[in-house]
Amino acid sequence: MRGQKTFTITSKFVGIIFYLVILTCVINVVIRTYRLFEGDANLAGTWHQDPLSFDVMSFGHLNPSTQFPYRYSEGKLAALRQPPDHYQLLVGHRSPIGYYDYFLSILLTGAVLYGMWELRSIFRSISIKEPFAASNARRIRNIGLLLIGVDIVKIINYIIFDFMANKYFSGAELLIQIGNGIWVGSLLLALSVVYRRGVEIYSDNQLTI
Amino acid sequence: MPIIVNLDVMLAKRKMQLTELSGKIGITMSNLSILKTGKAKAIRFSTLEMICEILECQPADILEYVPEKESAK
Repeated sequence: MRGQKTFTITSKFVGIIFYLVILTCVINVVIRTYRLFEGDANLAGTWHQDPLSFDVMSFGHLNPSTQFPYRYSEGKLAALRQPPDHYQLLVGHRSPIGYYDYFLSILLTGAVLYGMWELRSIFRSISIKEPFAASNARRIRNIGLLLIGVDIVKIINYIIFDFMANKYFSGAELLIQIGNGIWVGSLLLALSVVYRRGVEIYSDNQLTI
Repeated sequence: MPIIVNLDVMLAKRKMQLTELSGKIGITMSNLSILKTGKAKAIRFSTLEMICEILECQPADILEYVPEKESAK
């Protein structure tokens, strides 16, 4: 059947990516958890411990520096420097931002795993001969909602992160990059409606004698 | 559904088995069962034509309209 090869390759590719994502997520969570337990709250003695680093896009309010030196907050709780076009913020793993970022990374890891699980389930439940399954309309919708949800979390994160970072460096306006999740998610929501209609038509066709 | 399929009645009148009809018109037994039990959502003119031809009847002998209230009784 036409498209059989493409479908098989894509299905196998998604299966491989699924396991790679699981492996990456597990490694990420283990490393983050280890650093959370071993890390410090401030930057005083953590240079050898690889502090938590954030690259955040700036509005470009500050004058660009040629040397990009770090400036420290009171008590060396955080450090900030500004290479061209972005800020680099360093904090300890056991600082409030560190705890917050750990929670957020666990949340996003869960979202990634759930999204990949749903995507894999879609490919496992369909074949090129029977491409329409009622459960997949729900799965496509869930992935769409997940992508929108992740972007909403990113927007909320921006506000919270900005609030937390400004405790150390007042005046610095930080902007976390927001992805295309809302657009892709909206597209998937529309696609799920079309797919659901496809399932209905397919079902009607199956019951036409 | 208010459309009743009287295929079993016509088969009984013609003393014909479902398997025999299935073989003559080239439609699988499972599809004919779906039609006979009233689970079908639509019927093609070509299928209806073949059934009428084999059973020597009119479409109205196979399909009957019964209003919802009456069919509920």
